[in-house]
Amino acid sequence: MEIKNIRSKILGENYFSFSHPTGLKIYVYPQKGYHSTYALIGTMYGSVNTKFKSNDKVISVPDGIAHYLEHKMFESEEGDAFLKYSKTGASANAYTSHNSTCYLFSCTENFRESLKILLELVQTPYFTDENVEKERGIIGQEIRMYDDDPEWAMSINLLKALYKNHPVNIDIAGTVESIAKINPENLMSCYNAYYNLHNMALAVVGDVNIDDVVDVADECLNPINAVKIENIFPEEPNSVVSKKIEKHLPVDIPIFELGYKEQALAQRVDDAQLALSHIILEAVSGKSSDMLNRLLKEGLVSASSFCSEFFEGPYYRATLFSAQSQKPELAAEIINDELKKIKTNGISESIFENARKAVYGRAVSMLNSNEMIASAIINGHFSGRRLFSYIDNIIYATHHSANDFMHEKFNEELSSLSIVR
Amino acid sequence: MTTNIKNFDIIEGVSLKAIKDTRFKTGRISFTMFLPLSKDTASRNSVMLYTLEKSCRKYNSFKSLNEKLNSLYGASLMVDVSKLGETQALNISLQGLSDKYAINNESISAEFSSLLCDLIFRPNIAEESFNENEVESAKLEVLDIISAEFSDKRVYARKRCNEFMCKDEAYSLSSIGEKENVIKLTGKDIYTAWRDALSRAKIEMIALGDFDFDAIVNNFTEEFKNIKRNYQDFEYVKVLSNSKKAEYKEENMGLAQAKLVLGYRVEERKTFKEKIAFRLMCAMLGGTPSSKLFLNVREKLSLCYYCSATFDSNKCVMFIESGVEDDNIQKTKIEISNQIDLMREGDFTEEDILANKLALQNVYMGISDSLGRLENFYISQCFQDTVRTPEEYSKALDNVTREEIIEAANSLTLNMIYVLTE
Repeated sequence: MEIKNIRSKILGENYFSFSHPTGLKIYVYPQKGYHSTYALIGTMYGSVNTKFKSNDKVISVPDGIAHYLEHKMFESEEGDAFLKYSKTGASANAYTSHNSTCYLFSCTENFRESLKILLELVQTPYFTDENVEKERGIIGQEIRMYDDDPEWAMSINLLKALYKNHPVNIDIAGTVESIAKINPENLMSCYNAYYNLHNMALAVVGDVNIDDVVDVADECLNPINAVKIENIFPEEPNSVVSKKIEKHLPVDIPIFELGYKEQALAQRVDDAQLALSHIILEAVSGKSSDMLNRLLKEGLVSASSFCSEFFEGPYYRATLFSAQSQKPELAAEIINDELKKIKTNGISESIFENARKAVYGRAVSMLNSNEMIASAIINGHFSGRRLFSYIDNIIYATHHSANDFMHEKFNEELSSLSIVR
Repeated sequence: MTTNIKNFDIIEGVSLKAIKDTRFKTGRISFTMFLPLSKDTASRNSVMLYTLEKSCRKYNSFKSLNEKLNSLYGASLMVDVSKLGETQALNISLQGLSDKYAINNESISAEFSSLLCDLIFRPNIAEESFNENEVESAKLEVLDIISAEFSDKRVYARKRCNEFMCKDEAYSLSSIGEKENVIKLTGKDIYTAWRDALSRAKIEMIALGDFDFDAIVNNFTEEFKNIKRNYQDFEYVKVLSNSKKAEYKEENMGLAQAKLVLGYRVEERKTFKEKIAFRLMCAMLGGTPSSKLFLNVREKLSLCYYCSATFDSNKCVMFIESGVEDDNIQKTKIEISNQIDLMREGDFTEEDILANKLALQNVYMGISDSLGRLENFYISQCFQDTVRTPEEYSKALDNVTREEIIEAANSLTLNMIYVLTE
């Protein structure tokens, strides 16, 4: 088994990666002197994967099933995984996003035992009519909790306004109606396709011995034949569904999110493009930007509520701006106006340099956190990106390439505004 | 182990903790002013803090200040208002990259403490007033936070339960202030708040990372030579013993899911031993996936997605929170009460104790892997006679006995049932 040592000359850091004989890709990032070890195992299966071909069979599944599956994976015939973790002291959790599901733990003792639980958890599906039904009540309450969440409503509505067909416009947990269609059989179909070790990756971050990881992997991972998956996405038009969408919920000050859709392919954004996207975002909307300072001067937003994000996955890509505002339409107008200006005039060299430094500094700061490193490695694995390569690309980004790349972004015709008031 | 801690007394009521730690890519300097929480001053203190974040004499606009921060590799300036006991904690912190990661070998960390001093001691003031435009901007920050607390129904329900339960006590007050008071504030009010805070507050500073700590201590010592201090010790919390009958309050908001919050008074936990035993009891009741509330209210009865217990060891109050459908409120209340009774009767195993103890120890031992968590951990102890390390908290859990857990469960009295309905 060949273990690769991936180094960053600039940072003086390194981590290891190898493919276990069973097919699981494993990454180990040493953090010397840390008390906690964090382990994250993921599969590239999220809420957008509602239709797929598995070994030549086309399968369509109900909305919210990836998240439902995540809940169910904690149960096995031997009992609940939380009960097993309670004996090691590890703090465990899991999450489902638009394009992945991840299971994790953090521990300060009993690392080997905790890793064993994690690896066994993802290999032992246990779905019965009874336990699937029991979960419906819990997930139903989770959905209702999010139904009251204004920020959640704002975000999901924006995606519905931007995307006509792409399943990124689906609520990750589904709806009470859609989860009613989930049963042990369709859960198993999803499990068999995506929870195959050849389609998964594990990251372990902490003051950990790589031999411990290899030993536990050897002990716990069961050989399995690879499953070929083809994710099927509907054709998405290069237009938006609606320019504005509004919902009424009990909020004191309205909140809004303005999204700019970009053309997206199956090919994910690479490290260079991601680095440029983040630098551009800092330059156009960071705390020293003309955009944010104009919004602050006009009393339209607060600095603490204003956020911007570059959001991407398979066949979807967008830049999102959000804030609280008494005048959301006016705030959106100003954002759009400032984006038009900067596209016309370009980002100046000094603003570019400062933005580049800031993005680099924040990327390096992220390496303080075991959790953020593990998350970046797993996301990177599924999207073809590499942690150190991303940081290198921030340093090597040029002013010229940032201005060039910006022309693909911020097209007003492909924008939508979501408001909750 | 975070044993590398040095304490410096800068001046009466002002101290600095220097925690050397070379593991991180960043360093952090934090400055927290504690003042008694009062309706008259809470709003103006919050707005004052958010005004300090806007600019200073040297970088006299938000834009120029943030250009400077970006030039320091995206150094992060953070402000936060919170409650500790019945004090208002006003925190301003600066976190930035360690010198060894600067691409062009710049020396950046030396600038952090001088920039923080510029912001705190040399703000953008003229004629005993802060700039009115910046004050308006800061007011908007505070109003947004107040609004966000209302919009998050889980947070709102907890806040309302507290307001009803601790009515007439400082603890019922919101640490960030009230909308109607924020709106009225002027630049002169903020100037008064600033002078008052620097004069009277108990000030706790923490510097964490790989800094030249002597330089930081010198910087702040020099600054305080120019401040007229009028510090007097004050009582940071009043713990009320309580045997009153539980009250019920209900509010409607047309929600998809009702929020149930139960507020409990806890007999005063005078010693560290008693506090740690209560923490363990609270974890066993509703603090972990091995807890009674998680296993029964959520897993067995499928009544909710969350049902958790949290304990404020300063005020000695505990809250149990859950999101449930209207129809299940009564069932949930009964089950919660049932689980507390079982704790009181000692209906838990050695395995239950061990599982929750390990979970809490995992939390404590992980604190020193994060600058933010370390900072919060030490700030939260600033009114304690003895300051302990995370390792000491973890070790203390090993000595908690079954009888102490039962005693802790029996020290609870239900005071308030609050429901925010559909």
